[in-house]
Amino acid sequence: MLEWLQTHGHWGYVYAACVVSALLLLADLLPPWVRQRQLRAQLRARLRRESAHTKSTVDTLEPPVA
Amino acid sequence: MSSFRPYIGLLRRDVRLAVRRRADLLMPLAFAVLVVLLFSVALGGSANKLAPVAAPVIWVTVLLSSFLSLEGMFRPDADDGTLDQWLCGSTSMIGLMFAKAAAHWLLYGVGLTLATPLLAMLLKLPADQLPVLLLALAIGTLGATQIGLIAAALTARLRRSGILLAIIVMPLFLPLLIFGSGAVDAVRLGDSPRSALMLLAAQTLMLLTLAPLAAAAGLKIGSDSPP
Amino acid sequence: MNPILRWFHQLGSPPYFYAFATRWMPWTGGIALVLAMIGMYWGLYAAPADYLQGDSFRIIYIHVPSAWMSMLIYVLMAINGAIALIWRIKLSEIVFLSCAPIGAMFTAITLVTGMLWGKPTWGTYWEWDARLTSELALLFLYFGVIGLASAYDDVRQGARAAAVLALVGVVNIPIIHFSVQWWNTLHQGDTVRLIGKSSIHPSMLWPLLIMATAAKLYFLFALLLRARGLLLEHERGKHWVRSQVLGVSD
Repeated sequence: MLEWLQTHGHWGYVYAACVVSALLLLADLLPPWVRQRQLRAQLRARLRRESAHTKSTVDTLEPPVA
Repeated sequence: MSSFRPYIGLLRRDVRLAVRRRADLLMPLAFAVLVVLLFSVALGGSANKLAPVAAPVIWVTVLLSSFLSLEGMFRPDADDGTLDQWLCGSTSMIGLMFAKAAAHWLLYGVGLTLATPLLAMLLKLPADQLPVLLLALAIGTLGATQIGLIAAALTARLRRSGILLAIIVMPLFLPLLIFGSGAVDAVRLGDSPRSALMLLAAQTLMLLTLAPLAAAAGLKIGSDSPP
Repeated sequence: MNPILRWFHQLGSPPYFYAFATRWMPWTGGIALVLAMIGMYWGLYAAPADYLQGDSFRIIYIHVPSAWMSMLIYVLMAINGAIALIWRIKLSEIVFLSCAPIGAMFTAITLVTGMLWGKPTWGTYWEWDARLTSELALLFLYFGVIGLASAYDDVRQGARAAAVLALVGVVNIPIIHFSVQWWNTLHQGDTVRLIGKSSIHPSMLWPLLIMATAAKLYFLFALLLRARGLLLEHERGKHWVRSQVLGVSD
């Protein structure tokens, strides 16, 4: 890989810098994004389960769970 | 000065406890000699290889060794409830932090500095560098103790904090190391170590005034009940 | 009450902040992306090559904005940490925690792009000069903050403990910034000045400023993303989460 850097002249370094920066950025961006989607899905599923269990027709909003 | 009694009391208690547990007292020294041993073996042991790096190796060794004693600084007090007593009581937390740091420095900073001639001999340190090295270490370990105080306070109630302590403490040691090692390097080059020593002393003074505050704040954090 | 002050107070309320974040994320992210594309195209292809360094200098368009961000984010993080310590505002703790990984990312990008720029220009990937060393120390300061905060079971205590650490380390920022003035370093001195004339040619300056703006907008985007996530995680039992999650679709 180091030879690739040198054979492309200075552009090799420039492109390598772009790629590494993009990778680091994705490494920073993706985990919270994914975690949030999962969390929201979990919460929605839990809400659906709770409202299915409640037979009450008056108010489906439960008191806050600690 | 009866108002100082609780703080002097804490200082004496810590020193007495450490002296009783001789192993705890001597372990940083043993570790320092071990590190020097490793470096000497790795470098081949000849004077021309060791002498140029002797002072920096001693600096790194002292900093690593002083870091070793940090985990035990507040852990026993956190475990047996002394910490909570301090936080509830009327004694000044900052004063207690001063006492804690003073005890630590006497036991480990001064101790390691006194061991330096031995380490210098093992690493073939040029004799003209030794006085400045000793002075720089005396000042520098005082500052390093303060940094360690903050880090130990912030991690006091955590279960295992070894590597985390290292990551917290090492970047903060850097300015001390730069000027401490720089002072000895100045002697090697024939310059005056004065400016480096001055900057080292300035850092230590600043740490002496601010670190107990930060440490006290850190200890208070773990005791707060959740909102 | 002063409208700006009131806005700050409102932002301190979790449901308001969540809605605010959801609203502004697409804008900050989208404009950041567009600016970054313009800036990178301009910087990589349209701007002239440096007469000394040739094309490798183009790394500047990633390296310098990242370096600026690595320091700016630390300062913002420290300010939020101070607010969290003094006033115990939950959202300040959350913003503080969210800043740390983003700052670490920018610092890492700065170091790696700096290495890739250094090799063709100075002939070496690394030198232990004042600026590089202090930037590397900054990376470890970020790691320490992240590690310390996550070591605590209680997230609020962890944030406050890490805030103390962040404030202790804030002295590193002026050291990084002034290192090229105080020491003889391999790294070049300041060419872009906030006040006064910059010594860089305008054709090179504009893409740089565009990338800098893109970086700031990306930081806001990532900050809002992470803060939203932390709010969701730690407020999940609250009523407003239920109504917002029910109401807000992906």
